[in-house]
Amino acid sequence: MKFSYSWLQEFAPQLPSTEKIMAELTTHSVEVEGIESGAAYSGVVVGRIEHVEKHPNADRLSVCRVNIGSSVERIVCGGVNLSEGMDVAVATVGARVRWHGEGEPITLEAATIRGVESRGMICSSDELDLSAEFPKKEEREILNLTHLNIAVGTPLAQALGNNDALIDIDNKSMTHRPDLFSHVGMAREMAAVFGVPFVYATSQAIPTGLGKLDIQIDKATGCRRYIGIELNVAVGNTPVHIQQRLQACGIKSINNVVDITNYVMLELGQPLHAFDADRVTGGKIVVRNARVGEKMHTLDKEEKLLDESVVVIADTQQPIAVAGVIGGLDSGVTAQTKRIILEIANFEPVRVRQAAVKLGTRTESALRFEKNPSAELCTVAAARTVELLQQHAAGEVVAYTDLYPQQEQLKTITLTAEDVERLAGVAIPMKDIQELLQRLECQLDVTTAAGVTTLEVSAPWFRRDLNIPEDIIEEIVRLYGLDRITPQNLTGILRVPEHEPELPLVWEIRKKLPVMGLTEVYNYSFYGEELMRAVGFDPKQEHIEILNPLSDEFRYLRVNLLPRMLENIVRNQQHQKQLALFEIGHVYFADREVRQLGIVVMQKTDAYRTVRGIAEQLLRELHVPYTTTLTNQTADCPFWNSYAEGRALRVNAGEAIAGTIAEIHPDVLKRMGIDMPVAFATLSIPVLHAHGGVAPKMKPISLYPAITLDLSIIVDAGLAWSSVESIVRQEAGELLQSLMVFDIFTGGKIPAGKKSISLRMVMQSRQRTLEMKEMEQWREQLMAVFNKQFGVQLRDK
Amino acid sequence: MIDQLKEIQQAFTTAAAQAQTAEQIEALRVEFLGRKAGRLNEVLRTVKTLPPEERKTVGAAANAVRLEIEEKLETFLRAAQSSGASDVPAQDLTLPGLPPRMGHVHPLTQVFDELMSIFTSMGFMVYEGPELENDFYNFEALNFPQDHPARDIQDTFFIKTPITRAEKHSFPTDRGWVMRTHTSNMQVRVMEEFQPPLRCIIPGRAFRNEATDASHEFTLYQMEGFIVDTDITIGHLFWTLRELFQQLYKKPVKIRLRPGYFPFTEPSYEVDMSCLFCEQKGCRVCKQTGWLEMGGSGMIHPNVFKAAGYQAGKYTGFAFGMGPMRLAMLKYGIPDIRLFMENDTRFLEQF
Repeated sequence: MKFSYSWLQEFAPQLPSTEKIMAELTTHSVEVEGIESGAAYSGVVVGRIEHVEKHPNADRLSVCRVNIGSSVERIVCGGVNLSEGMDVAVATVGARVRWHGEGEPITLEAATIRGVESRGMICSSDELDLSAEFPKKEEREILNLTHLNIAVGTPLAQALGNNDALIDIDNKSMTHRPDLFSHVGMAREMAAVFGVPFVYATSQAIPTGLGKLDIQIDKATGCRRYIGIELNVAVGNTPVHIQQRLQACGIKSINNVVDITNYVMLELGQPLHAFDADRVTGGKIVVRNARVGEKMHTLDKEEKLLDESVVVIADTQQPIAVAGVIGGLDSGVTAQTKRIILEIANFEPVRVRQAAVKLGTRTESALRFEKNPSAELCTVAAARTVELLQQHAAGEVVAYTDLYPQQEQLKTITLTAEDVERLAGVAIPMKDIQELLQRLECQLDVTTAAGVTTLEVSAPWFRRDLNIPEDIIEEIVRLYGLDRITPQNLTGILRVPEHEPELPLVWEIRKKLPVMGLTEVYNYSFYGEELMRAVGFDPKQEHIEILNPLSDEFRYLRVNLLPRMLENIVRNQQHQKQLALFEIGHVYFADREVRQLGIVVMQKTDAYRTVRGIAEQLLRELHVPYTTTLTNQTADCPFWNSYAEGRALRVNAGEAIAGTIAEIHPDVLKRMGIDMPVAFATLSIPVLHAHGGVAPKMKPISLYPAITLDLSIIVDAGLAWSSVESIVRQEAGELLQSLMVFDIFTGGKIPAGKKSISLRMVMQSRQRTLEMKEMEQWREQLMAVFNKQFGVQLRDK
Repeated sequence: MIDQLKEIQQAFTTAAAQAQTAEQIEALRVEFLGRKAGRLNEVLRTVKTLPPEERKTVGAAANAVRLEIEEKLETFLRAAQSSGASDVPAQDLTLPGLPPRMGHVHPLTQVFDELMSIFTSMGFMVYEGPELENDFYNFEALNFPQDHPARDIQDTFFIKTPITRAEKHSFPTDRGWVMRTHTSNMQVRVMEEFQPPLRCIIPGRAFRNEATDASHEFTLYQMEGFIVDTDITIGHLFWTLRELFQQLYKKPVKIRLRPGYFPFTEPSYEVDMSCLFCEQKGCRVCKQTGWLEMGGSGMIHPNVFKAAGYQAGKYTGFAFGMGPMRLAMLKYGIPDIRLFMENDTRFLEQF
C-alpha cells in the first residue's frame, strides 16, 4: 500500500524524514519497499508562450519562443491549441517525460527537428501522467495551465501542490496488522517506532434520536456489525486536496460522495459503501447468502454469477452488493443521486476472501476485510464519513441504525519481566518496557509482589492481533530494537544426533553412484496421463490424484521414478551418446510413501548388463546380501508393461523384493522417441535399509599362488549363463576364487543355434600350491560334466 | 682375475663417458654384459676353472661389478631419454589427462550436504519426513488458523484420492491430505517422537500451487531447523543463523532480523544477510539495499508446543526456514530456478 507522507504528517507532525523511515521502519515494523520522493516532474516548469510561428519545413509543427523564468527557449511543438500568452508545462532538457503518453519515461535531450533546433518540450497531460486531472479534449492538445495563474519558472510539482512523497509498504509484511492499512494506523505505528507524538481527534458522534433504517442480518452470513446511515446529499465535485490524496494512493476520483467513502477507507482502514437510496427497492437492507443462479452487475461493469457461498447485501428484490467486496452497478451513486444509504459494516474475513477469489475481483475493500479489522472501527469511521459529507456534500443525516449483535471484548494479557528476558535473551528495564507499550496505546497495570514484577496489558481495540504474552514480547523487542539483541552461543547437553533411519543410507548411495559414472537428477513428483500411457502405466491403478493440479501434466503422484527418468533421456539424447542417471526420491501410495532409487542407462550395447553391474556393485558396497531371480511378466505389478518381455530380473533381499533390473520395452522407447536401448533398475531404499549394513566377515588371504584357467565352450544359444555358473561353482568348490565371462560369441565358425562362451576361473588353495597339471586335469573333468549336462563342445584351447 | 675385473670396470667407465644416445648405451650393455660375447661373461666363464675358495671371492667381485654396471647403464639411459637426445619418442606432458568416468551429484544435493554438515556438527538430527502430509501437521498443529490465506486453494495441492496411511498418533482434527507446503510439517511430528532438548533440521521437498517462472518453482526445496530447550532465546537464534551463513559462505557476514509474520512462530522474523557481492555498498543482487533476504525465523509459538503435547510454559525454542535453491543460485550464479528440475546434463555436469 502507498502512503502519502504529508497525510501521515497530519497525524504525526514530528515524523522523521522519509530517508530515516526507509532505513528504520523495516527493522522495527513493516517492510518499506520504496519511496517516491517529491521529485515528481523534476525538470518540468511552468512557461509562457511568447511567440508562435509555423515551422518552415513541417505543416503540423510550430516553433515557439517560451519564457521559462531563468531563460527563453526555442521549442518545436505539434500542439493544436498553442497561442501566445498561454501558460504551459515545459519539460526542460534532462527532464523525464512519457513520450506521446506511451511507453516508459525517457530523458529529454536537445534535438533538431526538421532543421530547427528545439530545447525542451511543451507537454500534453498524458506525457506527465496527468490525464486524470487534465483530460485531453483532442488528440494533439497540450496542457493549458493559464487558469492556474502561476508565476513563470515555478516547478510543476509546486504549481500543482503535489510536492508529496509516497511511502510504499509491502502488504505481505503487514498481513497480520489490519490497523496498518490506513494512514491513521500507519501514522500511529510510525509515531510509536520513532517515539514522536500521535494526534487524532475523532469526529463528533452522530446524534441519536434520528429515524431508523430497516436492516436485517441473516445468521449464517458471518456479518458482525452493520451501521446503515441515510443521508440527503448534493453530489458534485470533490475538493482538490481530497482528489490529490486519492490519486496519490492510486484511487480514481469519481464524485464527492464516492470519493469521501474512499478517503475514509484510506484514512481509517474501514471500507465503506454508498447506495443510491432511491434505487434500493423497498428501502430495506438485507445481509444474506446469495441464491443459486442469482446474478449481479458489479461496479466494474461485469455480470457476476453468484451462489450460496457468497454473502450479499440485498434489497427486497435482488442483491445490490457483494458483502465486503464490491457494490452493484444499478444501486451506485450517480450525479442524479439525492439520497444515499451509507454502509459501514464488518464481515467475516474468510467469507470475503472466498467471495473475492470466486468472483475474481480483488478490491481495496476485500483486501482490508480479509485481514480481519476490528468491528469497533465502524463507530469511528461512521462519524468521520458523516462529518466529511456534511462538509463537502451538503450531507444531512436522516436515519441511523447500528446492528452489532456481539460487541468485541478486549483481552488482558499477563506477563512478567522475566518472561520478556527469557525469550528475548536480554534484560530490558521495566521502565523501558512500560514506555514502549504505552507508545502502542496499551493500558498497563504493573504490580510487584515477592520481587516479581507483573504486567497486566490491555491491548487497544484496534490491535486484535495481541492475544498472548509472546505477542506483547514481540512488540517490546521490535520497538526496543532487534539490533540490540546480543547473539548467544548455543549451549546444552551434547548428544550424537539420531537421524531419520534411512537417511544415512541415502547419503551413502549419493556418494557411491557418481563414482560409478552416474549423474543425479531431481524430477517432479507428478506426471500426467500422457506420460503414463507412453510408458505403459495405468492411471487407474495405484495412482493418487491431485484435486487441483497445476495442469494435466501434473495430475498424478508418481509411483515409480521411471517415467520422468525416461523424459530425462529424451531431453539429453541429442547431445549425449551415452547416459547414466540416478535419482533418489519419494514415491506415493494411498497406504504408504517410500523412498526409491532409480537408475537408467542409455547406450548402444549392453545397457542391461551395465545397469545390472552398477546395481550389484552398489548392493555389495552397501553390504546387502541378495539373490536374483528371473521373472516373467506378471499382473501384480502395474509397471510391468514398461519392461521388455522376459527381460526383467528381480532382486531379492531375504524374503523381501529389493527391486527390479530390466530392459525397457522397445514400444515404450518408440513412443517416447528414444533411439537407443535403455535399461532401468529400481531399488527400494527401505528394503536396502532393512537388509543392508551386514558387516562382512574377513577371509584370510592365501599364501599360495593362484592359477588362472580359461575355457571356451560351445552351447545351445538359449542356454542361460546361470546354468553354466552353477555347475562351475559346484565342481570347483572352495578353490574357485573368481569366475567371469569374458566373451560371448555367435556366428563365424560357430554353428547356427549355438553360441560360444569364454570364461575365466581363478583357482587358489589356502593350504598348498596348486599344480598346473592337476588343474588342467580338473578342467577336463569339468568339460565332461558340461558334456553330460548340455552336450557341450570345447571350442579351442 | 680380480685385476681383469678392475680392468673391465675401468674400460666401462671410460666408454660410458662417451655414450649419449640410447643406442650407444645399449651397445655398451652388449659389450660388457652381453650373454654371449659380453666382457664380464668371458671372465665369469673361467671362474669355474678356479679352485673352490678362490671361486667364491672372484664370483662375488664379478657380481658386484655387474651390479654396478647395470645400475649405471640404467641411470645413463634415463638421463639420455630425458635430455631428448634419444630417438625414443618422449611423453608430451602438455597433453590433457585421461578423464576418469565420474558422474555428478545434483547441485541441490551439494548445498544440502553442506548445510547438513554444519548442523550435524552442532548436534542437530536430520529428518526428512513425508511429502504427502495430513492437513493437521502441515497447518493445524502449526497454528495456521483455518482461514489463513496459505490454506487457500491457490497455494496448496489437495489430494483427491482417499489416503489410508497408518499413523502413530491420531489426528485431533483431520481435514484431509495435502502436498506439504513447507518442511515445517515435521516440527510437531519430531516433537511427538522426542522430548527436549531437541535440535533438528528438515531438508526436503515442498510444493506450492503457483505458476513457474525464472524465480518461482511449484516444487521447491526447503531446510527447516528448530531447537527446543528450557531457555532458548532470540539471541540463540541470532547466533545460530550467523554461524550458519558464515560457515556456508566462508566469510564474516552480518545478520539482520526484522519483524515478520508466520503463524507458527511468535515473535516472527525475516532473516537478512549482508550482501555477499558488494560489501553492503549496494548492487543489483541486493537491489541496492545491502541486504539479501535469506529466509524466515522466529520463536516457536506456544500453540505448536501444545499440539506436540508439551507442558505449557516449560520450553522455549526457535525455528527457521530457508531455501536451498536460493542458496545454490547465489553460490553458483544460477539465473533461473527452473534449471534445477530440467535435468539437462550440460547443467548438472558443471557441479
